Amino acid sequence: MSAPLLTATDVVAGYAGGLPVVHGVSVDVASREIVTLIGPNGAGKSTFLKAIAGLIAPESGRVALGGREITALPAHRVVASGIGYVPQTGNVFTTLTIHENLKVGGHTVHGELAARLERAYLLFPVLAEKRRQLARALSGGQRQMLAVARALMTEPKLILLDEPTAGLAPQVVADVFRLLRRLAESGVAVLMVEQNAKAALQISDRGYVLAEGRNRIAGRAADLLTDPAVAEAFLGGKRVRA
Amino acid sequence: MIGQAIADGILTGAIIALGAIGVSFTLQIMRFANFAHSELLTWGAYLALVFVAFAGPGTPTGPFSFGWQLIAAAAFAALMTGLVAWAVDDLVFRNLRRRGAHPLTMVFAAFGAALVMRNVVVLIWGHGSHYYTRELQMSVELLPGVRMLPDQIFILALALVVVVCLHGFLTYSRTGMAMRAMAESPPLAQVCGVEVDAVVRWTWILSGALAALAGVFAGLTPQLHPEIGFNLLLALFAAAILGGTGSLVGAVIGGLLVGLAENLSLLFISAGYKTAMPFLVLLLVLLVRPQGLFGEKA
Repeated sequence: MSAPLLTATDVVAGYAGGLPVVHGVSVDVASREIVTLIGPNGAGKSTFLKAIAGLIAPESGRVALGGREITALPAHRVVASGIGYVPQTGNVFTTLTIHENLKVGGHTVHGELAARLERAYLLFPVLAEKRRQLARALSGGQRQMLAVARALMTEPKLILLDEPTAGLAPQVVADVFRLLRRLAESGVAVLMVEQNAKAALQISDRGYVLAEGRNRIAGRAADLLTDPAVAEAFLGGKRVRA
Repeated sequence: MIGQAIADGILTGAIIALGAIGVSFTLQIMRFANFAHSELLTWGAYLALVFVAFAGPGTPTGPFSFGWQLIAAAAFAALMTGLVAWAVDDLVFRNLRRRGAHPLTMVFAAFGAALVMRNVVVLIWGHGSHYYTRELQMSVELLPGVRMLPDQIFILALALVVVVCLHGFLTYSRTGMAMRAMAESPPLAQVCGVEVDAVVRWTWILSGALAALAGVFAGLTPQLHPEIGFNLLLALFAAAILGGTGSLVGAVIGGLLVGLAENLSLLFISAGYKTAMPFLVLLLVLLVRPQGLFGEKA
């Protein structure tokens, strides 16, 4: 196996003034891979993503992207290093138009912003139709599309998604997962946190189960889906088909 | 009578609007009420005075009481006051921000900064009044019964140009868009690659520059004194809150309304109550639309 794209080793992180929520999580993501983090609420999955995105500084541990150390870089420099991040809530600027959302997404892009905008509209035709509208006019699924399109403006090597399907209708959930699969095939690695664990693992290459801020189980997504321990605790109790 | 009150109101309103934009910026982007903002108006007015002291107010050009030197002085004051605003942030607010200070802590720090800034002005220039120019000028009749000084017409025109440019900057420029993004969600702006410190720096420089113009305009009609900014403080806040917290230029309309309310009230009640008018308007608006005129519902 070639060297992974993202290596996060023993990351300890929490919110300012509080105790750590993540007590030493290690996660690898190879390029073109989809990796899903699952686990109960409070397992520290979202906090771990924020620590990688640079929104909170890890207390210890190491994060590297493509062999380059990015631990504790501020968020705007993490973006520049090649990581896109889509938060769970508030993931678009509702007071800005769709076009402006994409332009802010390309804040660090110089020279080829117009080409990137064009590509985003090609990838998401529904956004092109509504480019002059405020983002608050979009439906939940369209917002998620815009959030992903916005994060892709910097042409990241890896995109982090915090519960990309939360609150979406089942048909739209399938659309989002199809989009992620397509992204991975086009060369963008995906690391996501999902409550919708079964469906997420079905499109993932590998998965990690976190609990109480620590790694619990790790393995190929297909294996996790058939692992009775995982199924019992995190996939809704019943054993599922592979 | 009413025409004249409207004309005077629009003039006061334009000055308040320029100052209120900065208050609105700090409220929305830095997320605290900067009670030191009024002192930036004062500093702007006095920095222009320094320039005028060296360059002279210039020979009156056309109907105006000043020449190009005063315009250069206003530009100089705008630049310097922008730097003063940045310096105050660097000395006071930035350190508090880094420690995750409560917004109320920031407000009290602002009160402290305001006291120091005001008293430095008194220390350097004294308590007395100063004038940019002592030229007299004749008012012109714009409409029957509506008279304005040429200087006042100049102020209105320049304020309008500044607001239009600012609107263009916020709408189309990369930095302006980043400012609006920060106003809505600092974390999301950061993960878009927006550097918070850079946006904060630009916000202070712009707020300071606009405050300086407001200060110079207030000083032109007709004199400067150390409380020139402080006397406008509550009107600035009334205007910014009226404009609402969802729109960076809503403060312009807020400023005009406050100016009009102050001057129209003179038709009905004694001048002593004039300064209470902004609050009456504010109270009414907050009762009907708590989010401000152009604000988003929370």
